[in-house]
Amino acid sequence: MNERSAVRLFTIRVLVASLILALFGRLWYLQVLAGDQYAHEASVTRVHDVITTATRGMILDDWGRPYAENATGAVVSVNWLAISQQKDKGKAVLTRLAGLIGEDPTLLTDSVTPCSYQKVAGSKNRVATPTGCYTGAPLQPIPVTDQANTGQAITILERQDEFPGVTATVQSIRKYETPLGSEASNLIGYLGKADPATDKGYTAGSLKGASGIEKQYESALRGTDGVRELSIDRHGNQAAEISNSAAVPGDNVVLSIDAGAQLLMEKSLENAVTTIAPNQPTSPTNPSAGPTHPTQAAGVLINAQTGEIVASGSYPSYDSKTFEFPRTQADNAKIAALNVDPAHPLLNQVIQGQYAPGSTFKLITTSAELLSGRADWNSMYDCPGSVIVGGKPKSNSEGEQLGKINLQTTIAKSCDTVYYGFALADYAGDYTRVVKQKVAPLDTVTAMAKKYGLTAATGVDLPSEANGLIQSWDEKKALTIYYHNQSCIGAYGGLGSKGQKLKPNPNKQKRAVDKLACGHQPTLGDEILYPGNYADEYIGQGTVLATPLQMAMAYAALVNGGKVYSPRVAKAITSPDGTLVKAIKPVVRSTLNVSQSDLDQIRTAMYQVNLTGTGATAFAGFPMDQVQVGGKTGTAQVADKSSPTGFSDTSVFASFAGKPGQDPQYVSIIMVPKGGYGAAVAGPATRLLWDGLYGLEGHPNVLPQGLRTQLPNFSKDGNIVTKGPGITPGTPVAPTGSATPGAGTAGATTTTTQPATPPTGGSTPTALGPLTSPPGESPPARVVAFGASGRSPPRTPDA
Amino acid sequence: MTDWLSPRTAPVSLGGRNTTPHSRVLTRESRLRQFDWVLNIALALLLVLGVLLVWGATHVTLSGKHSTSYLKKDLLNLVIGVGLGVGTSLLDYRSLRAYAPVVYVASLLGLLAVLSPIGATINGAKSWIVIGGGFTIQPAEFAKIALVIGLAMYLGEKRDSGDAPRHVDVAWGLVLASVPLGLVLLQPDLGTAVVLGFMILAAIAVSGAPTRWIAGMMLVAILGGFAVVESGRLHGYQKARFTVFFNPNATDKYSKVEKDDPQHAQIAIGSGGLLGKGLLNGPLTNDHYVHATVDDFIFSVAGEELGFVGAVGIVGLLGVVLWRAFRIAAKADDAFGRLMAVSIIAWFSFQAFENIGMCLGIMPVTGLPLPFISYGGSSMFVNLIAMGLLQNVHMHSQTA
Repeated sequence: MNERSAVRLFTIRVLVASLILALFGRLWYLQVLAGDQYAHEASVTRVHDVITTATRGMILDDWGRPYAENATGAVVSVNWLAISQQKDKGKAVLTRLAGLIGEDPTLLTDSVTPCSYQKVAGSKNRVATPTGCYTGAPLQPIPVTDQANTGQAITILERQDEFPGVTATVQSIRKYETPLGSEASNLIGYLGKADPATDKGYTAGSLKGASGIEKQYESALRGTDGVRELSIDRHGNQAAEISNSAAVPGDNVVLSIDAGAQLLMEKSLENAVTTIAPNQPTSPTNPSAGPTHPTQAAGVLINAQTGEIVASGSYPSYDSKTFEFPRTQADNAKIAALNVDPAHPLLNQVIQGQYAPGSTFKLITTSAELLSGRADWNSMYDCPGSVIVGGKPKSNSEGEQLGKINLQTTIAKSCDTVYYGFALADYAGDYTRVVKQKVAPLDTVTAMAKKYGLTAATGVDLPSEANGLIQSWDEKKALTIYYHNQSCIGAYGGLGSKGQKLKPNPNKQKRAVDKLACGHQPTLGDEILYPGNYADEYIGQGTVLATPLQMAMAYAALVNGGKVYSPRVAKAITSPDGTLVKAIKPVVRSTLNVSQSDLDQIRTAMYQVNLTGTGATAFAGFPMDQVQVGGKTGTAQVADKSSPTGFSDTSVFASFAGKPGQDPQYVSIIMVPKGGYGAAVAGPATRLLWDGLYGLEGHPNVLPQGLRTQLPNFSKDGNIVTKGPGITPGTPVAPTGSATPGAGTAGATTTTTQPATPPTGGSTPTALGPLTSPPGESPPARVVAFGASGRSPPRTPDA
Repeated sequence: MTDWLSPRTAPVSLGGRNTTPHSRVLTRESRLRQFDWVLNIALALLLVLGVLLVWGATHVTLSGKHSTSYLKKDLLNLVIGVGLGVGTSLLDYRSLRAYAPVVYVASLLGLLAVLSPIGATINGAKSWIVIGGGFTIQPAEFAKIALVIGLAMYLGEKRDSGDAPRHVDVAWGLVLASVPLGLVLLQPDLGTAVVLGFMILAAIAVSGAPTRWIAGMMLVAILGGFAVVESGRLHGYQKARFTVFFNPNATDKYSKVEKDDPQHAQIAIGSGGLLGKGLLNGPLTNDHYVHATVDDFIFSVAGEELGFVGAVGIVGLLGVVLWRAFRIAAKADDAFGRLMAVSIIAWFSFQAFENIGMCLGIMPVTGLPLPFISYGGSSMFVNLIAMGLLQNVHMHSQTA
């Protein structure tokens, strides 16, 4: 060996020796110096929480009839650790279990096997195996089914020698009910899987209110989950129980909704869409026009004096049971279909649908004009067939000319031209103030709308409520400038809101229209507002949007002495045994600054609506001597791409009813988008409502004992012992005959089984409703169509 | 010791020659007497410890049952391995050179077979050939033997003339060595590849090759290491082993998995303390708190059950084996023998250090078994064949 080799061999020897020394050193540190610490670490156990989900509180109507309750299901769970330590890795037990509950043994075994992440050749990622494996914490009992029947559960519990490691426990499962046949699904809502990443305090896979009451009252309904703290040894076996806090069941939410009234509302809406509207001519002035085929309707019934919501319907609705967990493939497919349904069945249109209220808005306009002094009850107003607004004639809906009429008649007959007159005068005043005097506009009607609560969400105890829209001068101006700018961008291109470059409209024709619109207004000062902006608004069209609930609360204020309530769907939270935890009452948002005598006069005029005015046909022959019904029709013409004319009418009817000589007890609003005239569709539907609520005209009374003011009674074990009144089967209220027979049926038993027919002839073309802004009139761009599609900003119709 | 420090003619060796009463029976010519008995005794102790530790690691199964199946298989492997080792040691020294090309080509075929469809993937690397009956072989292990003999033959041949290998010789040697190395990298079996790399480096270094080759190889090894890690060819778990080694707080999903094993091994070893908890009495071992205690992490069983004393004993015995190997390398009377011994030293020293080091948390995790201790047939066989080669070199240098 030459010297070089020898030196290198020696070098290697030194290196190897130092490696060995390094190992000695590390061993000395680990075992001698830090040995105690590691010994301690080796004995330390981990703590694992086993969560017991609390029983969710029920959602009950005013009598305690449950909309959402908890069925007890036998949940069969498998303890994977116990199973896997059996001789055959639990094969025999799982096969037996699969046979018992009717599941495929392989699928069952895979579903209870905690996922292991295998390295697989050809893939850089580890793959969770086996397919369908259990992703949760393996110490948590792994649920196999929650739909075992009692027999299966007993078999498992009694024959533990055959089913070691398998347990059956009774757990509560959310179930949705349809008391008396009413659904209220949009209102009650449903549960969704919580995401522990964003939902603090929720574990993976736990459920959480996702919409409606379920979401709004989540904290009350949820209760407190039980936690068993287990100490776990190194191998993952349970060593000891450190603590065990039992689950505390959630509180119940008692609604002011009455299942009987709710059923009545739902059936009235269904009737309006499926029976009334298709059998009506679309327009009283055009006999050749066919019936309408609306797809949606929304209605709400308010206890006018308290602000409580008694019934709230949104048609179409859906079957809440689809959303119950566990969801099947079919359920998920249905939910996916519901999500894309153009009729928006998942939306609660009462709070999320924003509609042009049409002439029902004249309540606000009239109040504003009375307050400002421009209108009074003694003056006479000219009601011509049309007035010139912004250089063009703007006519009454049917061009009717009523001559000189007082304000009462104006309201009863819903004369638009009188309101155009107010609009022109107010516009002139505001124009002078803004342009000439450089002071703030009066915005008379906008201010009154604000007083009536129309410019902001009502604050109802439901999630995702829409705000509605009544624009001030500045907002109208901003919107006009926005549209003008959009036209200019469409014509010549420009910069977007984020500074991005936008190209001109590729369509040549549309570009030409945009050029015209862009060149139309060389300056964008305050001069750009038209009197037409005001005229449209004064009859509840143009940019005016309101939810049915907002309008209902405005009309409730009219009849309850001026109190604009923030309404409530729930009236109490009770503990599981029925003890009151918290009473929930509507709060007064604002009080009208209109005098009581003015409100009384408006109310009187609205009684006239149903006697001699626009609602007279809808309420012809109604026993006003038993129940006095006032109301206001509304027919809002909105842009509608699906209609051949480019417009369709939202049928609106606002109404209040009560014993003669007393303050009205209830207020209702029914809105039927694309339904046609207010008097033709929403009006008859409203009549159905009053018939059922008071048991009139051969209809059974859905509230034979009135509204319940007390809480439901509970026994100590949490069972509801109040017996709510039932509704007789075969009632015309339920044309589909789906009303459930209930115990303690009150009211006259009727054997009628014929399907409901609209109480009014419905074919008379004389039902009047105001029609404004005929197609083509300037500026149609302010006519805004809103389906029940939430809160998107108003768009210019393409027409 | 090396020639220049301690002449080969040193009169006394720890082999105990001429010092036992049996010298008459075990004549000077007896092959038995010519074994390096210090090496043999150290090996025997290691093998016995290995069997005990395999038993300790497997006497309680995952499901808590008692089992001796691993113990039995390990004993069988041991018997076969000792047979192979003794057989190798008794081979004619000169014929070893003749076997070199055959062994080399056979090992290449084995490595190719692994990459072909008959290769089986276990734990993410395509490193095994299943031969039925529950037996598998790992050709990468046999490639080590091929490299030991092949490199020694090729580089040693040139050295016998007394000249240092020329550049072209080194280059060809590298080419020959790179083929099995490349095939192992393709599996990908990083651990074995690094072992092969150290073997090549050591053999070329001691062959007397020009220094710039040594420096160049080290540079290539470092750059190649980075290239392999960054190539994207590595499995997620392989990369994570580096990630957690350099960044213990890494939280990606692979790192979480790969972090547990070395941490648990350290806890097990540390908790063993000075004297350990007694063979078969390690609760962490018996609970399978540390995974793969039968092969990769078997040192944690030693640490927990035999304590510092036992762990140091194993490291010390491995040190004795390496010390004897150095001695044999130094005393070898031809370059062939010396280079074989040097390759074997590089192999065992790195593999032992890496395996124990990963259990102690000072090296990243790889799938290398602990020589003589870990369960596994292929590994056991080639380890003992390598020891047979060492003995063969030893005996040849005595009789020459």
